[in-house]
Amino acid sequence: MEQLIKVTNLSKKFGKNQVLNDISFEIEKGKIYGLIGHNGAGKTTILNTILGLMDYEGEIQVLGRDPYQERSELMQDIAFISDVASLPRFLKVQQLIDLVADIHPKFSVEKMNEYLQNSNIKFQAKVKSLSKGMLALLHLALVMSIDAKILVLDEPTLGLDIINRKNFFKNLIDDYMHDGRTIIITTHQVDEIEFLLSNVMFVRAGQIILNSEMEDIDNRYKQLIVNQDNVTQAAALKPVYQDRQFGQTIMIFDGLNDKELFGLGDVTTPNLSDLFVALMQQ
Amino acid sequence: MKYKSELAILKKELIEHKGSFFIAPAILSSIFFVLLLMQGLFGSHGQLVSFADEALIASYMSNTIFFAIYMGITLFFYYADAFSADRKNNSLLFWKSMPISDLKILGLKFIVGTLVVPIVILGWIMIGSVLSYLIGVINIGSFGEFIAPWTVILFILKLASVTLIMLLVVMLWLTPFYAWVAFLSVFFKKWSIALAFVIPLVLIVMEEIIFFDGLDHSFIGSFLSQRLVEIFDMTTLAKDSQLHEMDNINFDFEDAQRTTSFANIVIDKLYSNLWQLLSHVKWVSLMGGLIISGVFVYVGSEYRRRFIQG
Repeated sequence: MEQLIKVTNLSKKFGKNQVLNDISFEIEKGKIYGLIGHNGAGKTTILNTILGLMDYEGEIQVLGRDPYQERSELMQDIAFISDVASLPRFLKVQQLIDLVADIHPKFSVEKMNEYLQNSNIKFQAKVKSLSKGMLALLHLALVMSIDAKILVLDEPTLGLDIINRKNFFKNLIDDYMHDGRTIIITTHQVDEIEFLLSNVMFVRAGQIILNSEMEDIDNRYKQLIVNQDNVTQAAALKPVYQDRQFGQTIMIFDGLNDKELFGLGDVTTPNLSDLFVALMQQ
Repeated sequence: MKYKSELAILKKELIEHKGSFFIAPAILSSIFFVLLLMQGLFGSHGQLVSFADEALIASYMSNTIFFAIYMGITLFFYYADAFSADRKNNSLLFWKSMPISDLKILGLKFIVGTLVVPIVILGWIMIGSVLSYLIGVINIGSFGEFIAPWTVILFILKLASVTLIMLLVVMLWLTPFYAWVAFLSVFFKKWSIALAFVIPLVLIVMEEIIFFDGLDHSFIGSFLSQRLVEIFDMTTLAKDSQLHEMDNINFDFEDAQRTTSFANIVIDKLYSNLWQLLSHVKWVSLMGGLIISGVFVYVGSEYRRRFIQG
């Protein structure tokens, strides 16, 4: 698999605050990566260093370039949404399209028009008059109309209601995710993006504590709703997480298979948000 | 097109500041138009000029002075805003997502103020001149012969070409001062307006404290004031006899010749004096100012690239 981004021993300090601590990972072509962590865990800092928006210690290669030194060249092949409200508000939608068409050599006006014709965004509307949901869809349409190799989305649906969030991700999957494109996405709505991820990275206190393909997570982690009589026996198997919910004891295990947990209770695969909570509390 | 992205940024900059460069001048021109019209209808009919060509030259000159002052003030506030506007309106990350460098963006913003705005303002001078001239012709029916419309247009174009060159030279001369306030706005946003004056004042006070030899001997103060106003080499300018020929022009024309004689002479003199004046511009100092402006823009863009993420 072609490697698009290689991060080696990345560290970043803000004053005395160590935000990223010696992290390394790779991003491969054609996959959707979810970067998940608490507020302040370092997700946005990771993205900002990849996008060349800030300096860092360590080494980052994005499409063979140093992003901090070659951001503007790199932006021909990377599209990103860091804040859906960052579109220039003084422009009309049509002016914005014309502007991006003139600036970005890989922007397709035809695609953009196609996306907008299927929405209720008017070409003559001022950007500042659009609702949050419309702004998010407009920004998504703009970046999807760029023939970029990597799309980076940092909390793209923050502040949107559930319908607009669903529309956003639906459009992303239906209209963009083909031809070997790669997406890196951060969000707090873990459950809403779980279905579209091929890889996941959990970030905690500036370190990546999990970097795995979704398929491997299914095989590696098991959730057990423990029968009351077997709690002591299950606890002896060293769960990574244990909690009581609605009178039931729930445990999550790393690396055990169904056979080892057989008879102790109901075994399922934990969803991403449960696993996230489990690993964050380790 | 080769410079498509650069032209797009210039266009975007004009759209962003259309209030200062289009709407306000349009409102001001409309107000003058209405005031002149009212003066003709209800005011006293004392005439400052007696002939159509005098009215044309007077209209052009008054509009030039007014809009040049307007431009000087507006550009100060434009530069105090433009370099930090993307942060202020929260669009910085959008621009950073485009394949265009911070240096290019700030450089183009600077070019808008230095080279594009004078052309826009020249447009308003021409529009204002035509409007004032028309009102003058309507109000004062006692002009001799009217000037043919195409002659009026030709006169205005000739005057405009002289004005454009002078506006551009003056703007290039003033670039370090505008670059200074723009540079400060990268760091201090709207506080750049006050700091543009406070920092030199503090330096002058420090100079006075350290090398006190009388308040009228500040090296920094006198350098800045001279650099601000003395665009021409005054020693060679004072000795230039050709520039003083304007004082000796005979404006006593025969009535039959009167239609455009005054305007023709004024325009001819402006043309010849323009080249003479340009030969007295302190070009070395002007180039030095451009280099300093370039340094301000570059350092500002590097700060924006390295330290401003949104």
